[in-house]
Amino acid sequence: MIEALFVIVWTWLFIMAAYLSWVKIVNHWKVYLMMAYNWLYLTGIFVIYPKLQGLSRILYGYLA
Amino acid sequence: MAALSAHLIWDLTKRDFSERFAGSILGAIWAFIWPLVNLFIYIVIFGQFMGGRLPGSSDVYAYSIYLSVGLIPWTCFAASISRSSTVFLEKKHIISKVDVSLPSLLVFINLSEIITFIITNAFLFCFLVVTNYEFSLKLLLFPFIFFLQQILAFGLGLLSATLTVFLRDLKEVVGIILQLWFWFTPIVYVSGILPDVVRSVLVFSPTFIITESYHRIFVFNDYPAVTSLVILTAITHVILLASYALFRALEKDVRDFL
Repeated sequence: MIEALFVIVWTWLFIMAAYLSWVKIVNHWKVYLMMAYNWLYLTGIFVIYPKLQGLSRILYGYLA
Repeated sequence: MAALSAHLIWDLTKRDFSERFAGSILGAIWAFIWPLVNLFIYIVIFGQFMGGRLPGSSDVYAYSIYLSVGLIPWTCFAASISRSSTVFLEKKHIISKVDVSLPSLLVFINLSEIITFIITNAFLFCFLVVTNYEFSLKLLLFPFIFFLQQILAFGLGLLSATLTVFLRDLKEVVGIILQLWFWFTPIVYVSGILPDVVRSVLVFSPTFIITESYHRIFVFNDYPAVTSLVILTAITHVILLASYALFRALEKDVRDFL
């Protein structure tokens, strides 16, 4: 559950950042900025997601 | 540079999809028949009739799943690159008349191939449900690895599309490279059968890392190798950046040449 929540929040964060940057920046450098956002987004997913399983277990154990 | 129009991209995607089956009686139904037939070949012919088994697994469907989760994304990846390599030449009638953003032509090809990929995967998931496959939260990583794969396809597609305008032979070279690349990726075989020397080189291939990640998630119920994926993400974005920078430098010449 935490994993799915993380994916939703992380995606929403980057969509908002990308949208605002795309609207505010007028020159073609925004394309390179989108690539940087994309790289950060995917790296975050690949690094953080597997670690959440441990956190998820601890939290469910605590709640149980 | 012309603006990237979402409306134009969607319009081209729809047209590309409908033109593929234009004039046929069944029309868009063919878009569902083709993936179904492909999946039938992977699961029944390779997995059952030819008796393909995954080493160390007693599950009769393990090899079918192994094959399908490697082949379906590969088909999308290879088609995206090979079709992208000639897109500027094929759409020169549009490029010469309308001030269209050239990268958007690659976006529509990627979208069109992704639609086919989604349809095939929908059938694959139906098969998994029928065979009582145990779904886990690790499967949530699948779309992100696929997204990374398509960014790589886009980067390589943009590079080949730009260069093919000046060097027409490149489309044949792309086809040959993709064919060799397919057989040097553990899609129909397991990487364990490769000699150590070959394997030690192939682990640096982006498609090797991507395909191994699919297999780990779907077949071995394990997380993909995080370090490899993080390095691959960086390399993929460097390829995309370099391709885009090259395209920007040559864009005027590309338009003049067409």
